[in-house]
Amino acid sequence: MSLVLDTLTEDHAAVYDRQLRVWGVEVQRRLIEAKVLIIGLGGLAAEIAKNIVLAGVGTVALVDDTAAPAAAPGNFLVEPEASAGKSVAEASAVTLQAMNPLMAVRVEPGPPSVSALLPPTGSQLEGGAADQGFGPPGEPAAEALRSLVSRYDTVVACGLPLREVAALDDLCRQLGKQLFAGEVRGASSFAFVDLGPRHTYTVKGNPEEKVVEYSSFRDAMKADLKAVNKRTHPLYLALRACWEFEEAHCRPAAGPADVAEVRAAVQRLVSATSAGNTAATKPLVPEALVEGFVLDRVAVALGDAKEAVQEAAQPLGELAPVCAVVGGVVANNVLRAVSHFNPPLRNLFCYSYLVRDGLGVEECF
Amino acid sequence: MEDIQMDDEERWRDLDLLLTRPGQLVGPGFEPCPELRAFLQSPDCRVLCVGAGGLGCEILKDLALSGVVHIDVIDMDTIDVSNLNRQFLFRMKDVGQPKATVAAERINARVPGVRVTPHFGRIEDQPAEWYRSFAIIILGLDSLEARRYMNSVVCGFLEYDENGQPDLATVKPMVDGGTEGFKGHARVILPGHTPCFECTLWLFPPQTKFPLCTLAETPRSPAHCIEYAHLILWGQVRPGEEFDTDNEEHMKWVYERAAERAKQYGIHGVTFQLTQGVVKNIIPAIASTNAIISAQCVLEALKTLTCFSTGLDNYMMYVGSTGLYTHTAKYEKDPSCPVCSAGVPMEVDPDCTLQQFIDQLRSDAALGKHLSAPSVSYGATNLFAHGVFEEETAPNLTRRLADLVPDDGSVLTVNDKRLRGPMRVRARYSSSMKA
Repeated sequence: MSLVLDTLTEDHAAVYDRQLRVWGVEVQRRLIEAKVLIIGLGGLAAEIAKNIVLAGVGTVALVDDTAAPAAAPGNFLVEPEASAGKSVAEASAVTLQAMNPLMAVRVEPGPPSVSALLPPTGSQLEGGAADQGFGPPGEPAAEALRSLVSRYDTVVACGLPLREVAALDDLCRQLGKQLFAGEVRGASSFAFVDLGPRHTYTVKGNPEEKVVEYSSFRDAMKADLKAVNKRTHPLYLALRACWEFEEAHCRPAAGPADVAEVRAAVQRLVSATSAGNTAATKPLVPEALVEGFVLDRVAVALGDAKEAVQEAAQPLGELAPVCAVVGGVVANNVLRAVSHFNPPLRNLFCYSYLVRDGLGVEECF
Repeated sequence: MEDIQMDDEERWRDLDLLLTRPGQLVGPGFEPCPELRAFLQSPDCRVLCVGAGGLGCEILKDLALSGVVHIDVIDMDTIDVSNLNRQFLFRMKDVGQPKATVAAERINARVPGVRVTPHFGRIEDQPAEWYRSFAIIILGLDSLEARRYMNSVVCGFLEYDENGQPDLATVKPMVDGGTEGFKGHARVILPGHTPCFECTLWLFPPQTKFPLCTLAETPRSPAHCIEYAHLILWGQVRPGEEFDTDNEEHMKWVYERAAERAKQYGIHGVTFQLTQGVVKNIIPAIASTNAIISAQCVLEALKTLTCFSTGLDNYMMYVGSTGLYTHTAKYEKDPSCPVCSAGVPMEVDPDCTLQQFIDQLRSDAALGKHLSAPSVSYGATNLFAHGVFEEETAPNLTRRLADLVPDDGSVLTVNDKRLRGPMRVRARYSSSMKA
């Protein structure tokens, strides 16, 4: 059913008055036609969802079958008393829909993960890559996920292990969908944007369509290091080192034992950059940044390494104000991406209040 | 029961990471320990959020989710339907209710253990002493005037010691946020250290005011037509009737007259929406900018309270209209700021006239010896000046000082040909000085 409206209704005009004065009726119409899928509802995703729901995106679908009482502490959408028996997605949907009855919030089945898209590892082969919650029982999970994504224009996925981000990005590119992936790990956070090889947009006052090309996640993670200099936000190298670790070990870095290896990877990367060979008095990537980035992912289970690996699947260490900043930036760019108005972020947003006076920086790889 | 929930370590693991580990990038004097979170959650750490609107809702959420327990919120407004696109704590059924009350209710219901106390009323109606009871004050305001007021209250607590250094015990930290459309700012005000709001008033462009002759004789833009109907025609056609921006009939009347005038002059673009915007001075607003700026403010407040990281020094601006741009600037205090700079304290009769004040200065044992014929000013305003402006300012001499300067403790600048540089005096009203 098409949600295209010839004119905005009176209700839309009244509630959206203050934002219509920012971006105008035409952009609002395009927002109403947009369909966004959000996989995983931690603190960051909750902020993004709040902002795009309030902005009036026509359809926002949530995927997260975690039991609501086990919701991430940063997900302020889940009402503690009213959540028994509901999933995180269902409980979050209730609050979001109440925030804006003029658009539609939906719940789609499935876990807050796209591991179904990954090639099976040893342990997975034992149990069989059977139904992981997506789609009807019996339908292979990867197929169901593919079918789910194909029904939306834009996918937002927060807190996924980086191999899953890459796999999801591959799928989105195949299907011609937009991807926003990000995570908040304590003091540091990032958001990656892939709008495909050919994203079109216009700017105010100029009807001429502009075209811009986005890299895939895999390409961004192997960009030429000569492009990195001392002005590049250090989080890019930390992220890339974590990616290399994940590719090598088929699991995210977790716990103090892994920090050393990630740090070594960072050093290797640094020496390959334009800045790495000069004798710098200040390290290009502060140790505190790397350690925090890896460890804050598994705050609790520092004692038992095996537990740490399991814990690594959940996003941890999300500080509320950091989620709100990144959530605001990502939401702004989702709105740009779906309305094809103004150039969206391209392609990596880095924000850590440990470095650069806490400036949020846009990098392009 | 509440205590158990607040102690739940699982819940605060992200905060504990920051407060119980040492680091290379922490603030000065930072001591990692569990007592820091205990402090944050104790009644000694009361935080005030001024405003429960676009910024206020977000600030309250971030504070509550970050572990602060004792939060007060003050706002004089009621909820309007146009608030719903960003003030996410409110629903359609709340329209007409006080913002502070509903916001507090929603946060208290959602975050177990938090205690938000609402105050439905004007900031001017609270005694200055009430503001002193908070560990930090966060502003989510929408006007210069309100900010100037809060700034003068907070800077009013500031005292300097004999060496001209700010007395740290009297420094009340304040964080100020502001947004419009895709733009926003967050700044930290530590009276006596960073510039106060008054120090940097020059940052703001002059407010748009159209010359009356343009409105009356030569309109060129839709806004001219609207302001003509609003400021000139209304008074002529409906004298004695006070114009009410919330009255739909009044707004329609202005819109129709403005449209007629526009037609008369061949000007396009007068719409009801524009009429509302011009007359009510509507600030365009979206959710995401408010989320970003409020979060930045709360982060700075947390840092000020616990030192877990170095604080913003001292002004951050954000522009998100095309791409993403942020910039941090270290603005400097104005050494002769009438609100926050050091000044020789002098107790005066609250009812004294400017002449009596000058006489008191001249007869003061310490100050008088520098003075023969002093001129007195407040900021850029001459209160009484010898020379060119003498005739113009002479009438002020018989007026009460309290009527000439806005606050108790205002810094007055005294100039005299016998002084090397201007002398600053803080006049403090004291009933013990009554004649």
